[in-house]
Amino acid sequence: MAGRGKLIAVMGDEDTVTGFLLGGVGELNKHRKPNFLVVEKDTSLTEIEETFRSFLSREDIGIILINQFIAELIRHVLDAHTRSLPAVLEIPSKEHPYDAAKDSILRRARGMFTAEDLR
Amino acid sequence: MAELALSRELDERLLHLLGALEALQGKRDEFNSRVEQGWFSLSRSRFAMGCKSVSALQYGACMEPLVRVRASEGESGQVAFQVIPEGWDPSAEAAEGSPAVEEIGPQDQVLRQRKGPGKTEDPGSPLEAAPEPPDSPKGASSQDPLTWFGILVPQSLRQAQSSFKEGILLAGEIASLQSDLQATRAQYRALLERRRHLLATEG
Repeated sequence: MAGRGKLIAVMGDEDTVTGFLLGGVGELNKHRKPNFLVVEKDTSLTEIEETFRSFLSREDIGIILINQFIAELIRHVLDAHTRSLPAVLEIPSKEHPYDAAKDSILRRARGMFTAEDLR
Repeated sequence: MAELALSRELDERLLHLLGALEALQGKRDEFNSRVEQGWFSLSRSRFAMGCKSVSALQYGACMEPLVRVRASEGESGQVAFQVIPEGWDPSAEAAEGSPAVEEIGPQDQVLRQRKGPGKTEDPGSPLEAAPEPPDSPKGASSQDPLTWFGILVPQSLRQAQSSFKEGILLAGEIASLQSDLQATRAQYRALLERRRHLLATEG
């Protein structure tokens, strides 16, 4: 599995997940465990967080694509993830455009410079 | 002297970081426009096929990834992601196509024999041969996700697929840039710390 490359996981609204699955990222493994989650109105925060944590712990996943509005709900988990693998990409959703100011990676880059450093 | 060299190295890292940020911004814009185009095409497909025809209910019961990502770690800790669309290799598809055509011939012959007097001659072989294509990994991986939504899908659904495929390729590049950004940030912090120590010992 590792020799063939890693998977791309998706968490998002129906259209985002459908689109990326059309693109060919979807997998149902031997235990019928998917590498995607469609977040609907009735999806609980616990389910979102648990799924995201399970994606982080899976060694066969290389990139996690997550709608930014969902990432906002579990921001503490994203901020705690500092490893390079899997890479977490915050992406826009149909109703919530991408905001670079909210992105964990860019916020970290922005936090590099303090007034003291620039003296 | 050492301070000057450190400052120069810091400047280089900073310039590299700003370059990576600029590249990331460009790729992000491109990615967002591809995904937006994909959503638009999906909506057009819904208009053509019906509201319930393009939803999570249509996802296939068996899914094999047609795209994988290869991650290779560099010297300074950054990870380069390379998206490999293995399922759409035209040469592989051509190679898969020819044995499938060959298999139909013998199966037809056996079925013809079953109708005739030699019906009970060799019932084992066609039954064993029939389940082979769906079980084989190549057969499963060549299944296009478009078929979940029907045999004759509208052109807009194909356009949506194409937009999202491009988005996936860009996602790999964005992930590489993000990793580069994090590695550069760590190097910059380490250099800054070294300079502070140097200044403290000198002054």
